[in-house]
Amino acid sequence: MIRLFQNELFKIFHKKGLYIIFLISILMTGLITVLNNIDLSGVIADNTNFEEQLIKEYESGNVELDEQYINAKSTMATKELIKNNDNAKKYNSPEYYFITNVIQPLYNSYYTNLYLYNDENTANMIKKQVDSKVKDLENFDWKKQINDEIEEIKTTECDNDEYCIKVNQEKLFLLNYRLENNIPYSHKDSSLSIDTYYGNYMTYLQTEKDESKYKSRDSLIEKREVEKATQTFRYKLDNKLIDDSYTDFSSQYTFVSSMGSVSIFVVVCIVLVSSSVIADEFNKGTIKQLLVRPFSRSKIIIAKLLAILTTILLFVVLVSIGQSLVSGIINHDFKTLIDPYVMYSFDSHSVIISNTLFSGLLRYACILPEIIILTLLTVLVSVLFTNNGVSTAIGIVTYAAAGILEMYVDAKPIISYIPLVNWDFSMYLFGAMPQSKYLVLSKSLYICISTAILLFIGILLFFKHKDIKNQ
Amino acid sequence: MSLVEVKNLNKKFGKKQVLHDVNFVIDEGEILGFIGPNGAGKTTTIKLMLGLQSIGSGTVTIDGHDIVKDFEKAIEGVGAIVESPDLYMYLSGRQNLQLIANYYKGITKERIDEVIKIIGLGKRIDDKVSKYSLGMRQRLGIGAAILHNPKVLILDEPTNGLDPEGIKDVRELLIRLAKKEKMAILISSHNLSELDNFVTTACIIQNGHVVSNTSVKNLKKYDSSRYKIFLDKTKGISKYIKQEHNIISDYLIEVFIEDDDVSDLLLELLNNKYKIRQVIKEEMSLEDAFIKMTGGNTID
Repeated sequence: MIRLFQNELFKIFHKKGLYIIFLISILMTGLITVLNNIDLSGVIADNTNFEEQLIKEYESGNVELDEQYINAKSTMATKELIKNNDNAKKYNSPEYYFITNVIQPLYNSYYTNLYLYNDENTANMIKKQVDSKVKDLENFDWKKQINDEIEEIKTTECDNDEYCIKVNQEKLFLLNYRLENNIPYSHKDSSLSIDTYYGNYMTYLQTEKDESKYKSRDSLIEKREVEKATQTFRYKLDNKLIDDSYTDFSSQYTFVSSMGSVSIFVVVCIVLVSSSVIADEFNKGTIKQLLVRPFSRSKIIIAKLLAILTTILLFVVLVSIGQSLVSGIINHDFKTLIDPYVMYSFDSHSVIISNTLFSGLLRYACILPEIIILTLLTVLVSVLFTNNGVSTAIGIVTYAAAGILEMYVDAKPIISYIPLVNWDFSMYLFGAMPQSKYLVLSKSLYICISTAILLFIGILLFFKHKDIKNQ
Repeated sequence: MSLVEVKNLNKKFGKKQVLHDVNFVIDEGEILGFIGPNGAGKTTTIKLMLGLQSIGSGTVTIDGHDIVKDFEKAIEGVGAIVESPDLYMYLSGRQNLQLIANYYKGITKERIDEVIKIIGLGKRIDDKVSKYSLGMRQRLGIGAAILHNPKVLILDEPTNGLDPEGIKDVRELLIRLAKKEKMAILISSHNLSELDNFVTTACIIQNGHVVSNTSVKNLKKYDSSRYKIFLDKTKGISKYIKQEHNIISDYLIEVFIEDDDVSDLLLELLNNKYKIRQVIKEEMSLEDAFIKMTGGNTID
């Protein structure tokens, strides 16, 4: 039996297809990471033709001025600023962020008052603000900007409004955090994640305030997601864990998410390996070489199944490692497998601290049922039809169908008995709430285990009684 | 001692009965030619013998083990090529042999090298099989079948794609295996001239029925011998010949006649003013015997 298993692995690893899929999946991650890192400022600064054209058209007097004109004017003004400031030409620079997020809205307001409201007084007032900000830009000191903001918040009166007090407290905390940890406002991931956190926190406070609004399951799930995002990020802030590597493209996040997802590449791998180990052998006649050897058919098919599963499980791990290495190289950031990784438990409403490796393995365990059922299904189809096309089609259609069916579980509760909507156990991880009330952990376990057993028995029976047809 | 016993083998494909009570045995050291026109049931019989298709009724016993009830033991002593030598094209010849060696206990690297030498693939053995000619693949297939020193060798059309030299090599190899290793060998072929002077027994199958199963010697004796008689003329000769005959030219006739009756025929011809130049006894070929037995290569 072990010799059979070894032979099957030997055959699988001598086929080129598997290596091609492996390389493509890694290259795709590289491509996505590179695209994420592309500096867009050049494109923004140079392309002013559209605005110029628009402004000319408006100023010819034939067209009534509207918001589009105002937008074009303020965009032109900010682009001019970017053009004249070398630092601002970098998309990730604090200067660029300052121009586009602080000065541009002021310009907008200025032009609106000037041209749309014809309110010259207000316009002039705003213009002064604009000019002062533009002056700030000359020897730009982001810390001064943040200190100014801190002062402004301190002078704000909240009149015992608990919500207002909490928001201001958090704002102050974040601004001080930026100062202490050298995180200016910018388009860098570290800064953006603080902004996102702030947005989430506001929503979180709102959800606590209006408890009655969150009765439907969808809104409850949304509330829990905000809770999770807020709590985990707050933990990272408190423990100074925020840097540019805590993003969707970090080597650590890539590893953990890749270990926990059945991507299309994994499905292609399942289909490819299953067809090459079963259907190909029947089609090319090599199965006869195997069936006239001193092993029962049950042993042969079990060895084949084990070899297929081993390959696919190994593929997921290797792709995860490969993808995280690529992100690490492109982002110049590497986290080790024992670096801390923050997760959140809905059971205890608190964060769970683990390491990269354990978090990855935990996610991996959650998708095992999906991998096993998809593999058993494609193997069964391969045994039944001995046709690569049919098994490929059924494998991919099943995978795609799972995503579609998930959306209709509430509308048609009978769908909750289909294995495809039950097989991803990450929906139950740490007390998380699945999208539908019809999805329950014990039911999903029962459905997945019985499906796997049925498929396995089907494979055994059909393979055992399959006649090798005459050529 | 019989190593292979096929008893009352029946098989249906749907409603069509393709094998009818097929019976034969193969003894140690015997080479059985399994002969029949295309579609007669040769490959189906072989597949049933190897457990590649389910048996309708009847039994196949190999070295005392039933192929259905005791598959692993029965098949352990068998080497086979079925239909064509199906090998992994993306692997080298040596890797293919190594894979097969892994299925059995105790096949050493030396044994693999020995087999490579026997099949004459020495220089090309590390090339990928996809680069092999059909003849080379056939040799490798034979290597794969004999690697574990089986007691029984079942070869379905093993000479397909081989050049005359290759066919001669295979023939010599099989004779050696039968004589020295006492292997029981079944070899099917539709090219009867290849099997002539080589197989010890001929089992002729037609439309799923075994129509003859006897030693080649007996088979050739099955009917009258064939004589070629050269004469000064052949005009009007038919009325003096009682036996089946063909007039081949103005000077040559072919007569199917028992040896004992030849002198009477010659006397009759001499008495009727035919001058006899030469008389040749033609040895009956396996092909002649086969055509006699089956009435030509037709499938009903």
